[in-house]
Amino acid sequence: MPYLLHHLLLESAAAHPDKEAIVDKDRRSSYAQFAAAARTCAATLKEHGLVRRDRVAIWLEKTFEKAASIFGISMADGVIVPINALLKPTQVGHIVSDCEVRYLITTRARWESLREAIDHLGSVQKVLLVDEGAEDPRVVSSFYARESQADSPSVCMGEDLAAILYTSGSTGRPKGVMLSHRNLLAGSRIVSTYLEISRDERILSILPFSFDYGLNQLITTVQQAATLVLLSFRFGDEIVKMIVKEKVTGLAGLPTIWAVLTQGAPSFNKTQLETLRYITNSGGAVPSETVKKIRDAQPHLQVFLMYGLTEAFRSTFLPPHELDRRPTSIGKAIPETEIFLIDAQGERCKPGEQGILIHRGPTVSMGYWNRPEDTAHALRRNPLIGEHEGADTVCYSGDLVKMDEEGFLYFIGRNDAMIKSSGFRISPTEVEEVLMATRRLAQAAVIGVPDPVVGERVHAVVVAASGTEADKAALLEFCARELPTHMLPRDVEFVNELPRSPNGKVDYKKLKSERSG
Amino acid sequence: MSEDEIRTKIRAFVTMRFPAVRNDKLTDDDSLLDSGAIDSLGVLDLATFITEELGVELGDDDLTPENFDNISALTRFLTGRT
Repeated sequence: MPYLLHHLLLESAAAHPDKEAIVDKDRRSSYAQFAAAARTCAATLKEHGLVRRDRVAIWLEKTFEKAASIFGISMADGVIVPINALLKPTQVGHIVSDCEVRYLITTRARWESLREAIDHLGSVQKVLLVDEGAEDPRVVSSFYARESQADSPSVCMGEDLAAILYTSGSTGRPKGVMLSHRNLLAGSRIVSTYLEISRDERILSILPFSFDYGLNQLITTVQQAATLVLLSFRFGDEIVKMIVKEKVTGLAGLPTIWAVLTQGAPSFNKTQLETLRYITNSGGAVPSETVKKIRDAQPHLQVFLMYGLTEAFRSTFLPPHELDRRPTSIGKAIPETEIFLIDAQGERCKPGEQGILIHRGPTVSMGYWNRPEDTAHALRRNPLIGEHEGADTVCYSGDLVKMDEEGFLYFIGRNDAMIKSSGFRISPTEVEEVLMATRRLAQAAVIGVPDPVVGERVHAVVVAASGTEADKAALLEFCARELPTHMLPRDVEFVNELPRSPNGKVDYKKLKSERSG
Repeated sequence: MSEDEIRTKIRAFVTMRFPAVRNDKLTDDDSLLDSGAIDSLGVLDLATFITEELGVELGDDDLTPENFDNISALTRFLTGRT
Protein backbone atom coordinates (compact mmCIF):
# COMPACT_ATOMS: atom_id res chain seq x y z
CA MET A 1 0.00 0.00 0.00
CA PRO A 2 1.34 3.42 -0.88
CA TYR A 3 1.85 5.62 2.18
CA LEU A 4 4.20 8.32 0.87
CA LEU A 5 3.41 10.85 -1.84
CA HIS A 6 5.91 9.51 -4.39
CA HIS A 7 4.67 5.95 -3.92
CA LEU A 8 1.67 7.04 -5.98
CA LEU A 9 3.92 7.96 -8.89
CA LEU A 10 6.08 4.85 -8.64
CA GLU A 11 2.99 2.62 -8.58
CA SER A 12 1.42 4.30 -11.61
CA ALA A 13 4.73 4.24 -13.49
CA ALA A 14 5.17 0.53 -12.74
CA ALA A 15 1.62 -0.39 -13.77
CA HIS A 16 1.19 2.02 -16.71
CA PRO A 17 4.65 3.13 -17.88
CA ASP A 18 3.49 4.33 -21.31
CA LYS A 19 0.30 6.07 -20.20
CA GLU A 20 0.32 9.82 -20.84
CA ALA A 21 0.87 11.56 -17.50
CA ILE A 22 1.51 15.27 -18.13
CA VAL A 23 0.79 17.46 -21.13
CA ASP A 24 2.82 20.67 -20.93
CA LYS A 25 2.26 22.57 -24.21
CA ASP A 26 3.96 20.44 -26.88
CA ARG A 27 5.67 18.16 -24.39
CA ARG A 28 3.84 14.95 -23.60
CA SER A 29 5.32 12.81 -20.85
CA SER A 30 4.51 9.23 -19.97
CA TYR A 31 4.41 7.93 -16.43
CA ALA A 32 7.82 6.29 -17.02
CA GLN A 33 9.29 9.64 -18.07
CA PHE A 34 7.58 11.45 -15.22
CA ALA A 35 8.99 9.01 -12.65
CA ALA A 36 12.44 9.23 -14.26
CA ALA A 37 12.42 13.01 -13.95
CA ALA A 38 11.34 12.80 -10.31
CA ARG A 39 14.24 10.39 -9.68
CA THR A 40 16.67 12.85 -11.27
CA CYS A 41 15.39 15.58 -8.98
CA ALA A 42 15.65 13.33 -5.90
CA ALA A 43 19.16 12.18 -6.79
CA THR A 44 20.35 15.76 -7.35
CA LEU A 45 18.97 16.87 -4.00
CA LYS A 46 20.54 13.94 -2.17
CA GLU A 47 23.87 14.40 -3.90
CA HIS A 48 23.90 17.96 -2.60
CA GLY A 49 23.32 16.87 0.95
CA LEU A 50 19.56 16.95 1.51
CA VAL A 51 18.60 15.25 4.74
CA ARG A 52 15.13 14.14 5.86
CA ARG A 53 12.79 17.06 6.57
CA ASP A 54 14.91 19.67 4.74
CA ARG A 55 12.59 22.20 3.08
CA VAL A 56 12.81 22.49 -0.70
CA ALA A 57 11.01 25.43 -2.30
CA ILE A 58 9.84 25.36 -5.91
CA TRP A 59 9.37 28.76 -7.53
CA LEU A 60 8.51 28.02 -11.14
CA GLU A 61 5.75 28.59 -13.65
CA LYS A 62 3.51 25.55 -13.84
CA THR A 63 5.50 23.16 -15.99
CA PHE A 64 6.39 19.47 -16.25
CA GLU A 65 9.51 20.23 -14.17
CA LYS A 66 7.39 21.71 -11.42
CA ALA A 67 5.26 18.56 -11.25
CA ALA A 68 8.34 16.31 -11.33
CA SER A 69 10.00 18.36 -8.57
CA ILE A 70 7.01 17.86 -6.27
CA PHE A 71 7.39 14.09 -6.45
CA GLY A 72 11.19 14.23 -6.55
CA ILE A 73 11.36 16.13 -3.26
CA SER A 74 9.15 13.50 -1.67
CA MET A 75 11.43 10.73 -3.01
CA ALA A 76 14.43 12.48 -1.46
CA ASP A 77 12.64 12.67 1.95
CA GLY A 78 12.47 16.46 1.73
CA VAL A 79 9.55 18.78 2.43
CA ILE A 80 7.87 20.39 -0.59
CA VAL A 81 7.33 24.15 -0.39
CA PRO A 82 5.55 25.15 -3.62
CA ILE A 83 5.56 28.91 -4.11
CA ASN A 84 3.08 30.72 -6.33
CA ALA A 85 4.84 31.92 -9.47
CA LEU A 86 2.98 35.26 -9.26
CA LEU A 87 4.53 36.29 -5.94
CA LYS A 88 7.06 39.10 -5.81
CA PRO A 89 10.58 38.63 -4.39
CA THR A 90 9.61 40.15 -1.01
CA GLN A 91 6.89 37.56 -0.46
CA VAL A 92 9.06 34.72 -1.70
CA GLY A 93 11.74 35.95 0.70
CA HIS A 94 9.26 35.75 3.56
CA ILE A 95 8.49 32.10 2.80
CA VAL A 96 12.17 31.18 2.32
CA SER A 97 13.06 32.75 5.65
CA ASP A 98 9.96 31.60 7.55
CA CYS A 99 10.48 27.87 7.02
CA GLU A 100 14.25 28.10 6.47
CA VAL A 101 14.30 26.75 2.96
CA ARG A 102 17.50 24.79 2.29
CA TYR A 103 17.10 24.14 -1.44
CA LEU A 104 15.43 26.24 -4.07
CA ILE A 105 14.28 24.96 -7.47
CA THR A 106 13.75 27.79 -9.94
CA THR A 107 14.90 29.42 -13.19
CA ARG A 108 17.91 31.65 -13.72
CA ALA A 109 15.79 34.77 -14.23
CA ARG A 110 13.74 34.15 -11.11
CA TRP A 111 16.86 33.40 -9.05
CA GLU A 112 18.45 36.65 -10.18
CA SER A 113 15.35 38.62 -9.23
CA LEU A 114 15.31 36.98 -5.83
CA ARG A 115 18.97 37.11 -4.80
CA GLU A 116 18.78 40.50 -3.18
CA ALA A 117 15.78 39.45 -1.06
CA ILE A 118 17.29 36.21 0.22
CA ASP A 119 21.09 36.56 0.06
CA HIS A 120 21.31 37.67 3.68
CA LEU A 121 19.25 34.71 4.95
CA GLY A 122 21.94 32.08 4.58
CA SER A 123 19.56 29.13 4.93
CA VAL A 124 19.59 28.34 1.21
CA GLN A 125 22.42 25.87 0.56
CA LYS A 126 21.84 25.13 -3.11
CA VAL A 127 19.82 26.60 -5.93
CA LEU A 128 18.77 24.07 -8.55
CA LEU A 129 18.01 25.67 -11.89
CA VAL A 130 15.93 24.08 -14.60
CA ASP A 131 17.88 26.18 -17.13
CA GLU A 132 21.48 27.35 -17.54
CA GLY A 133 22.76 29.36 -14.61
CA ALA A 134 25.43 31.91 -13.85
CA GLU A 135 28.79 31.14 -12.23
CA ASP A 136 27.93 30.74 -8.58
CA PRO A 137 29.09 27.93 -6.29
CA ARG A 138 25.59 27.62 -4.89
CA VAL A 139 23.97 27.05 -8.27
CA VAL A 140 23.40 23.70 -10.00
CA SER A 141 22.47 24.32 -13.66
CA SER A 142 20.02 22.45 -15.90
CA PHE A 143 19.70 19.61 -13.42
CA TYR A 144 16.84 17.91 -15.23
CA ALA A 145 19.15 17.27 -18.18
CA ARG A 146 21.04 14.66 -16.12
CA GLU A 147 20.52 10.92 -16.39
CA SER A 148 17.91 9.58 -14.03
CA GLN A 149 19.05 7.48 -11.11
CA ALA A 150 17.89 4.31 -9.42
CA ASP A 151 15.49 4.70 -6.50
CA SER A 152 17.08 4.87 -3.11
CA PRO A 153 14.77 3.74 -0.33
CA SER A 154 12.88 6.38 1.58
CA VAL A 155 13.19 6.59 5.34
CA CYS A 156 10.02 8.68 5.80
CA MET A 157 6.69 7.43 7.08
CA GLY A 158 3.13 8.58 6.51
CA GLU A 159 3.14 10.87 9.53
CA ASP A 160 6.18 12.79 8.29
CA LEU A 161 5.83 16.32 7.05
CA ALA A 162 5.43 16.22 3.25
CA ALA A 163 4.56 19.77 2.22
CA ILE A 164 4.11 23.30 3.52
CA LEU A 165 1.52 25.46 1.77
CA TYR A 166 1.55 29.18 2.53
CA THR A 167 -1.73 30.93 3.08
CA SER A 168 -2.85 34.11 4.80
CA GLY A 169 -4.93 34.66 7.91
CA SER A 170 -6.69 37.70 9.28
CA THR A 171 -3.45 39.37 10.39
CA GLY A 172 0.27 39.27 9.74
CA ARG A 173 2.34 37.60 7.07
CA PRO A 174 1.38 34.30 5.38
CA LYS A 175 1.65 31.17 7.48
CA GLY A 176 2.82 27.75 6.36
CA VAL A 177 0.22 25.00 6.70
CA MET A 178 1.99 21.69 7.32
CA LEU A 179 0.67 18.60 5.55
CA SER A 180 1.76 15.04 6.18
CA HIS A 181 2.06 12.38 3.49
CA ARG A 182 -1.03 10.83 5.05
CA ASN A 183 -2.94 14.12 4.65
CA LEU A 184 -2.05 14.35 0.96
CA LEU A 185 -2.91 10.73 0.23
CA ALA A 186 -6.21 11.00 2.10
CA GLY A 187 -7.08 14.11 0.07
CA SER A 188 -6.55 12.37 -3.26
CA ARG A 189 -8.32 9.19 -2.11
CA ILE A 190 -11.36 11.19 -0.95
CA VAL A 191 -11.56 13.37 -4.05
CA SER A 192 -11.21 10.47 -6.48
CA THR A 193 -14.03 8.75 -4.60
CA TYR A 194 -16.63 11.49 -4.77
CA LEU A 195 -15.66 12.85 -8.19
CA GLU A 196 -15.39 9.24 -9.44
CA ILE A 197 -12.02 9.87 -11.05
CA SER A 198 -10.67 7.00 -13.11
CA ARG A 199 -7.66 6.26 -15.27
CA ASP A 200 -9.47 7.57 -18.37
CA GLU A 201 -9.73 11.04 -16.91
CA ARG A 202 -7.98 13.98 -18.62
CA ILE A 203 -7.92 16.79 -16.11
CA LEU A 204 -7.22 20.41 -17.00
CA SER A 205 -4.92 22.12 -14.52
CA ILE A 206 -5.27 25.90 -14.45
CA LEU A 207 -4.82 26.35 -10.69
CA PRO A 208 -1.38 26.72 -9.15
CA PHE A 209 0.26 23.76 -7.36
CA SER A 210 0.99 26.12 -4.44
CA PHE A 211 -2.73 26.04 -3.73
CA ASP A 212 -4.10 22.86 -2.05
CA TYR A 213 -6.88 22.65 -4.64
CA GLY A 214 -4.41 22.70 -7.56
CA LEU A 215 -1.92 20.42 -5.82
CA ASN A 216 -4.67 17.89 -5.14
CA GLN A 217 -5.52 17.75 -8.86
CA LEU A 218 -1.94 16.71 -9.60
CA ILE A 219 -1.85 14.09 -6.84
CA THR A 220 -5.28 12.66 -7.70
CA THR A 221 -4.28 12.41 -11.36
CA VAL A 222 -1.10 10.51 -10.48
CA GLN A 223 -2.89 8.25 -8.00
CA GLN A 224 -5.34 7.22 -10.72
CA ALA A 225 -2.71 7.09 -13.49
CA ALA A 226 -4.84 9.61 -15.36
CA THR A 227 -3.59 12.58 -17.46
CA LEU A 228 -3.05 16.17 -16.35
CA VAL A 229 -3.08 18.94 -18.98
CA LEU A 230 -1.27 22.09 -17.82
CA LEU A 231 -2.52 25.48 -18.94
CA SER A 232 -1.77 29.13 -18.18
CA PHE A 233 -4.35 31.38 -19.77
CA ARG A 234 -5.37 35.02 -20.20
CA PHE A 235 -8.51 34.52 -22.28
CA GLY A 236 -11.45 32.28 -21.46
CA ASP A 237 -11.45 31.04 -25.05
CA GLU A 238 -8.03 29.49 -24.44
CA ILE A 239 -9.62 27.22 -21.82
CA VAL A 240 -12.38 26.20 -24.23
CA LYS A 241 -9.84 25.52 -26.99
CA MET A 242 -7.72 23.37 -24.70
CA ILE A 243 -10.72 21.35 -23.50
CA VAL A 244 -11.56 20.53 -27.12
CA LYS A 245 -7.97 19.91 -28.24
CA GLU A 246 -7.00 17.67 -25.34
CA LYS A 247 -10.40 16.02 -24.84
CA VAL A 248 -10.48 17.22 -21.27
CA THR A 249 -12.93 15.47 -18.94
CA GLY A 250 -12.61 17.47 -15.72
CA LEU A 251 -12.04 21.14 -14.89
CA ALA A 252 -11.48 22.68 -11.46
CA GLY A 253 -11.86 26.41 -11.04
CA LEU A 254 -12.51 29.40 -8.83
CA PRO A 255 -15.38 31.89 -9.02
CA THR A 256 -13.20 34.24 -11.10
CA ILE A 257 -12.60 31.54 -13.69
CA TRP A 258 -16.34 30.98 -14.13
CA ALA A 259 -16.75 34.74 -14.55
CA VAL A 260 -14.10 34.76 -17.25
CA LEU A 261 -15.70 31.78 -19.01
CA THR A 262 -19.28 33.05 -18.90
CA GLN A 263 -18.55 36.76 -19.51
CA GLY A 264 -15.38 36.82 -21.55
CA ALA A 265 -15.34 33.62 -23.62
CA PRO A 266 -17.81 33.70 -26.53
CA SER A 267 -16.80 30.19 -27.58
CA PHE A 268 -17.92 28.75 -24.22
CA ASN A 269 -21.56 29.27 -25.23
CA LYS A 270 -21.08 28.09 -28.79
CA THR A 271 -18.97 24.98 -28.31
CA GLN A 272 -20.48 21.76 -27.07
CA LEU A 273 -17.81 20.49 -24.71
CA GLU A 274 -18.68 16.84 -25.19
CA THR A 275 -15.71 15.28 -23.44
CA LEU A 276 -16.05 17.44 -20.34
CA ARG A 277 -17.83 15.43 -17.65
CA TYR A 278 -17.63 17.65 -14.59
CA ILE A 279 -16.49 20.99 -13.21
CA THR A 280 -15.70 21.79 -9.60
CA ASN A 281 -15.69 25.10 -7.79
CA SER A 282 -13.90 26.02 -4.59
CA GLY A 283 -12.24 29.13 -3.16
CA GLY A 284 -15.48 31.09 -2.66
CA ALA A 285 -19.13 31.01 -3.67
CA VAL A 286 -20.08 31.20 -7.35
CA PRO A 287 -23.07 33.51 -7.90
CA SER A 288 -26.16 31.41 -8.71
CA GLU A 289 -26.60 33.42 -11.90
CA THR A 290 -23.17 32.29 -13.10
CA VAL A 291 -23.98 28.65 -12.29
CA LYS A 292 -27.13 29.03 -14.37
CA LYS A 293 -25.15 30.45 -17.31
CA ILE A 294 -22.72 27.54 -17.13
CA ARG A 295 -25.51 24.99 -17.09
CA ASP A 296 -27.39 26.73 -19.90
CA ALA A 297 -24.29 26.63 -22.08
CA GLN A 298 -23.26 23.08 -21.14
CA PRO A 299 -26.34 21.26 -19.83
CA HIS A 300 -24.64 17.86 -19.60
CA LEU A 301 -22.04 19.01 -17.06
CA GLN A 302 -21.97 17.77 -13.50
CA VAL A 303 -21.35 20.85 -11.36
CA PHE A 304 -19.74 20.25 -7.96
CA LEU A 305 -19.81 23.20 -5.55
CA MET A 306 -17.29 22.65 -2.79
CA TYR A 307 -15.91 24.32 0.30
CA GLY A 308 -12.58 23.95 2.01
CA LEU A 309 -9.72 25.65 3.79
CA THR A 310 -6.03 24.82 3.50
CA GLU A 311 -5.82 23.86 7.20
CA ALA A 312 -8.11 20.88 6.51
CA PHE A 313 -7.89 20.80 2.69
CA ARG A 314 -11.54 20.15 1.73
CA SER A 315 -14.59 19.94 3.98
CA THR A 316 -17.79 19.72 1.95
CA PHE A 317 -19.26 19.28 -1.52
CA LEU A 318 -22.77 19.55 -2.89
CA PRO A 319 -23.74 16.50 -4.96
CA PRO A 320 -24.66 17.78 -8.48
CA HIS A 321 -28.22 16.42 -8.28
CA GLU A 322 -28.89 18.68 -5.27
CA LEU A 323 -27.93 21.84 -7.14
CA ASP A 324 -31.45 22.69 -8.32
CA ARG A 325 -32.95 22.28 -4.89
CA ARG A 326 -30.23 24.05 -2.88
CA PRO A 327 -28.24 26.30 -5.22
CA THR A 328 -26.64 28.25 -2.38
CA SER A 329 -25.57 25.30 -0.23
CA ILE A 330 -21.95 24.20 0.22
CA GLY A 331 -23.28 20.67 0.68
CA LYS A 332 -22.28 18.05 3.20
CA ALA A 333 -19.07 16.51 4.49
CA ILE A 334 -16.70 14.85 2.01
CA PRO A 335 -16.13 11.09 2.48
CA GLU A 336 -14.29 9.90 5.64
CA THR A 337 -15.06 13.25 7.25
CA GLU A 338 -17.41 14.73 9.81
CA ILE A 339 -18.48 18.38 9.90
CA PHE A 340 -20.25 19.98 12.83
CA LEU A 341 -21.04 23.48 14.06
CA ILE A 342 -20.15 25.00 17.42
CA ASP A 343 -21.73 28.17 18.81
CA ALA A 344 -20.05 30.95 20.83
CA GLN A 345 -20.62 28.97 24.06
CA GLY A 346 -18.87 25.94 22.63
CA GLU A 347 -22.13 24.00 22.26
CA ARG A 348 -23.09 22.01 19.19
CA CYS A 349 -25.54 24.02 17.04
CA LYS A 350 -29.05 22.87 16.26
CA PRO A 351 -30.39 23.05 12.67
CA GLY A 352 -30.90 26.67 11.63
CA GLU A 353 -28.45 28.09 14.20
CA GLN A 354 -25.25 29.79 13.08
CA GLY A 355 -21.93 28.47 14.28
CA ILE A 356 -18.27 27.95 13.44
CA LEU A 357 -17.60 25.06 11.09
CA ILE A 358 -15.48 22.33 12.69
CA HIS A 359 -13.80 19.74 10.50
CA ARG A 360 -12.90 16.24 11.70
CA GLY A 361 -11.15 13.71 9.48
CA PRO A 362 -7.93 12.51 7.86
CA THR A 363 -7.18 15.77 6.03
CA VAL A 364 -6.84 17.87 9.19
CA SER A 365 -3.35 19.33 8.76
CA MET A 366 -0.43 19.31 11.19
CA GLY A 367 -0.83 23.02 11.98
CA TYR A 368 1.26 26.05 11.04
CA TRP A 369 5.03 25.88 10.67
CA ASN A 370 6.72 27.43 13.69
CA ARG A 371 3.54 29.08 15.01
CA PRO A 372 2.41 27.14 18.05
CA GLU A 373 -0.11 29.77 19.17
CA ASP A 374 -1.87 29.95 15.82
CA THR A 375 -1.81 26.18 15.61
CA ALA A 376 -3.40 25.86 19.06
CA HIS A 377 -6.12 28.23 17.92
CA ALA A 378 -6.95 26.38 14.68
CA LEU A 379 -6.38 22.80 15.78
CA ARG A 380 -8.03 21.75 19.04
CA ARG A 381 -9.24 18.67 20.81
CA ASN A 382 -12.59 17.43 19.61
CA PRO A 383 -15.05 19.22 21.92
CA LEU A 384 -17.69 16.50 21.52
CA ILE A 385 -15.58 13.60 22.77
CA GLY A 386 -13.94 13.42 26.21
CA GLU A 387 -10.17 13.35 26.39
CA HIS A 388 -10.36 10.05 28.29
CA GLU A 389 -12.40 8.48 25.50
CA GLY A 390 -10.00 9.28 22.71
CA ALA A 391 -10.82 12.83 21.57
CA ASP A 392 -9.01 13.50 18.30
CA THR A 393 -7.74 16.78 16.87
CA VAL A 394 -10.22 18.79 14.82
CA CYS A 395 -9.88 21.97 12.75
CA TYR A 396 -11.70 25.16 13.75
CA SER A 397 -12.31 26.89 10.42
CA GLY A 398 -13.23 30.36 11.68
CA ASP A 399 -16.00 30.32 9.05
CA LEU A 400 -19.54 31.02 10.15
CA VAL A 401 -22.08 28.60 8.64
CA LYS A 402 -25.51 27.16 9.33
CA MET A 403 -27.04 23.75 8.74
CA ASP A 404 -30.59 23.00 7.59
CA GLU A 405 -32.85 20.22 8.90
CA GLU A 406 -31.48 17.77 6.35
CA GLY A 407 -27.87 18.47 7.26
CA PHE A 408 -26.95 20.67 4.27
CA LEU A 409 -24.58 23.51 5.08
CA TYR A 410 -24.70 27.18 4.10
CA PHE A 411 -21.77 29.60 4.27
CA ILE A 412 -22.55 32.86 6.11
CA GLY A 413 -19.23 34.69 6.40
CA ARG A 414 -16.16 35.12 8.53
CA ASN A 415 -15.94 36.74 11.88
CA ASP A 416 -12.54 38.30 11.34
CA ALA A 417 -10.86 40.75 8.96
CA MET A 418 -9.45 38.22 6.50
CA ILE A 419 -10.19 39.06 2.85
CA LYS A 420 -11.05 36.40 0.31
CA SER A 421 -10.46 37.61 -3.23
CA SER A 422 -10.17 35.57 -6.44
CA GLY A 423 -9.75 32.45 -4.29
CA PHE A 424 -6.78 33.96 -2.42
CA ARG A 425 -6.80 34.60 1.31
CA ILE A 426 -5.38 38.05 1.93
CA SER A 427 -4.37 39.44 5.28
CA PRO A 428 -5.16 43.19 5.52
CA THR A 429 -1.93 43.67 7.49
CA GLU A 430 0.24 42.58 4.59
CA VAL A 431 -1.26 45.15 2.23
CA GLU A 432 -1.32 47.85 4.92
CA GLU A 433 2.40 47.34 5.58
CA VAL A 434 3.18 48.00 1.94
CA LEU A 435 0.94 51.08 1.87
CA MET A 436 2.64 52.46 4.98
CA ALA A 437 6.06 51.77 3.46
CA THR A 438 5.32 54.46 0.86
CA ARG A 439 5.89 56.99 3.71
CA ARG A 440 3.03 59.03 2.33
CA LEU A 441 0.41 57.91 4.83
CA ALA A 442 -0.39 58.45 8.48
CA GLN A 443 -2.71 55.45 8.63
CA ALA A 444 -4.02 52.71 6.38
CA ALA A 445 -6.78 50.13 6.76
CA VAL A 446 -7.49 47.50 4.13
CA ILE A 447 -10.83 45.77 3.86
CA GLY A 448 -12.69 43.49 1.46
CA VAL A 449 -15.83 44.89 -0.15
CA PRO A 450 -18.33 42.58 -1.88
CA ASP A 451 -17.71 42.08 -5.60
CA PRO A 452 -19.68 39.87 -7.98
CA VAL A 453 -16.60 38.62 -9.81
CA VAL A 454 -13.77 38.28 -7.30
CA GLY A 455 -15.88 37.73 -4.14
CA GLU A 456 -14.26 40.53 -2.20
CA ARG A 457 -12.39 43.47 -3.72
CA VAL A 458 -9.32 44.76 -1.90
CA HIS A 459 -10.13 48.32 -0.82
CA ALA A 460 -7.78 50.66 1.03
CA VAL A 461 -8.99 53.45 3.31
CA VAL A 462 -6.10 55.77 4.12
CA VAL A 463 -5.16 59.00 5.86
CA ALA A 464 -2.46 61.05 4.13
CA ALA A 465 0.60 61.99 6.19
CA SER A 466 0.60 65.67 7.12
CA GLY A 467 2.12 67.79 4.40
CA THR A 468 1.79 64.96 1.89
CA GLU A 469 -0.38 65.16 -1.15
CA ALA A 470 -3.15 62.58 -1.52
CA ASP A 471 -1.69 60.84 -4.56
CA LYS A 472 -3.55 57.63 -5.32
CA ALA A 473 -1.54 56.87 -8.45
CA ALA A 474 1.78 57.09 -6.61
CA LEU A 475 0.53 54.74 -3.88
CA LEU A 476 -0.70 52.16 -6.37
CA GLU A 477 2.48 52.36 -8.37
CA PHE A 478 4.51 51.54 -5.27
CA CYS A 479 2.13 48.72 -4.30
CA ALA A 480 2.36 47.17 -7.77
CA ARG A 481 6.12 46.82 -7.31
CA GLU A 482 5.77 45.05 -3.98
CA LEU A 483 2.56 43.04 -4.31
CA PRO A 484 1.17 40.51 -6.79
CA THR A 485 -1.87 41.64 -8.77
CA HIS A 486 -4.46 39.85 -6.64
CA MET A 487 -3.32 41.76 -3.53
CA LEU A 488 -3.31 45.22 -5.12
CA PRO A 489 -6.00 47.57 -3.78
CA ARG A 490 -8.59 48.13 -6.48
CA ASP A 491 -9.34 51.48 -4.95
CA VAL A 492 -7.66 53.84 -2.51
CA GLU A 493 -9.95 56.14 -0.59
CA PHE A 494 -8.57 59.12 1.30
CA VAL A 495 -10.32 60.07 4.55
CA ASN A 496 -9.49 62.50 7.37
CA GLU A 497 -9.47 59.82 10.03
CA LEU A 498 -10.22 56.14 10.48
CA PRO A 499 -13.14 55.11 12.71
CA ARG A 500 -12.05 53.64 16.04
CA SER A 501 -13.73 51.17 18.35
CA PRO A 502 -14.04 52.14 22.05
CA ASN A 503 -10.74 50.43 22.85
CA GLY A 504 -8.96 52.57 20.26
CA LYS A 505 -8.47 49.95 17.55
CA VAL A 506 -9.41 50.61 13.93
CA ASP A 507 -13.06 49.62 13.52
CA TYR A 508 -12.82 47.29 10.51
CA LYS A 509 -16.42 46.15 10.88
CA LYS A 510 -17.67 49.72 10.54
CA LEU A 511 -15.36 50.48 7.62
CA LYS A 512 -16.59 47.39 5.87
CA SER A 513 -20.30 47.75 6.56
CA GLU A 514 -20.26 51.39 5.39
CA ARG A 515 -18.85 50.24 2.06
CA SER A 516 -20.87 47.09 1.55
CA GLY A 517 -24.15 48.75 0.63
CA MET B 1 -13.42 59.06 -31.98
CA SER B 2 -10.05 59.67 -33.61
CA GLU B 3 -7.19 57.22 -33.34
CA ASP B 4 -5.36 59.58 -30.99
CA GLU B 5 -8.38 59.96 -28.72
CA ILE B 6 -8.79 56.19 -28.51
CA ARG B 7 -5.09 55.71 -27.75
CA THR B 8 -5.24 58.34 -25.00
CA LYS B 9 -8.32 56.79 -23.41
CA ILE B 10 -6.94 53.27 -23.51
CA ARG B 11 -3.62 54.39 -22.11
CA ALA B 12 -5.35 56.30 -19.30
CA PHE B 13 -7.49 53.32 -18.36
CA VAL B 14 -4.67 50.79 -18.56
CA THR B 15 -2.25 52.83 -16.46
CA MET B 16 -4.93 53.59 -13.87
CA ARG B 17 -6.27 50.04 -13.60
CA PHE B 18 -2.94 48.21 -13.93
CA PRO B 19 -0.29 50.16 -12.03
CA ALA B 20 2.38 47.65 -13.02
CA VAL B 21 2.23 49.06 -16.55
CA ARG B 22 3.55 52.39 -15.31
CA ASN B 23 6.27 50.82 -13.18
CA ASP B 24 7.62 48.75 -15.99
CA LYS B 25 7.50 51.88 -18.19
CA LEU B 26 5.71 49.93 -20.87
CA THR B 27 5.52 51.64 -24.23
CA ASP B 28 2.46 51.40 -26.48
CA ASP B 29 4.06 48.46 -28.26
CA ASP B 30 5.18 46.44 -25.22
CA SER B 31 3.12 43.37 -24.46
CA LEU B 32 0.65 43.82 -21.63
CA LEU B 33 -0.03 40.09 -21.56
CA ASP B 34 3.49 38.67 -21.60
CA SER B 35 4.72 41.10 -18.96
CA GLY B 36 2.06 39.76 -16.60
CA ALA B 37 0.70 43.29 -16.12
CA ILE B 38 -2.75 42.10 -17.16
CA ASP B 39 -4.13 38.74 -16.06
CA SER B 40 -7.37 37.02 -17.11
CA LEU B 41 -9.44 39.24 -14.84
CA GLY B 42 -7.67 42.28 -16.23
CA VAL B 43 -8.66 41.20 -19.74
CA LEU B 44 -12.25 41.00 -18.56
CA ASP B 45 -12.05 44.51 -17.07
CA LEU B 46 -10.50 45.85 -20.23
CA ALA B 47 -13.32 44.27 -22.27
CA THR B 48 -15.91 45.87 -19.96
CA PHE B 49 -14.18 49.25 -20.35
CA ILE B 50 -14.23 48.94 -24.15
CA THR B 51 -17.94 48.09 -24.15
CA GLU B 52 -19.13 50.52 -21.51
CA GLU B 53 -16.82 53.52 -21.87
CA LEU B 54 -15.95 53.40 -25.56
CA GLY B 55 -19.32 51.99 -26.61
CA VAL B 56 -17.86 49.23 -28.80
CA GLU B 57 -19.78 45.95 -28.86
CA LEU B 58 -17.26 43.13 -28.84
CA GLY B 59 -17.93 40.31 -31.28
CA ASP B 60 -17.17 36.65 -30.71
CA ASP B 61 -13.84 36.82 -32.45
CA ASP B 62 -12.62 40.06 -30.93
CA LEU B 63 -11.32 38.73 -27.63
CA THR B 64 -7.94 37.58 -28.84
CA PRO B 65 -4.33 38.00 -27.74
CA GLU B 66 -3.64 39.75 -31.08
CA ASN B 67 -6.18 42.51 -30.34
CA PHE B 68 -5.38 42.86 -26.64
CA ASP B 69 -1.63 42.40 -26.56
CA ASN B 70 -0.55 46.05 -26.33
CA ILE B 71 -1.90 49.59 -26.47
CA SER B 72 -1.12 50.00 -30.18
CA ALA B 73 -2.90 46.76 -31.05
CA LEU B 74 -5.94 47.80 -29.01
CA THR B 75 -5.97 51.20 -30.71
CA ARG B 76 -5.73 49.67 -34.19
CA PHE B 77 -8.50 47.21 -33.41
CA LEU B 78 -10.84 49.88 -32.04
CA THR B 79 -10.17 52.67 -34.54
CA GLY B 80 -13.17 53.11 -36.78
CA ARG B 81 -15.47 51.22 -34.44
CA THR B 82 -16.22 53.90 -31.85
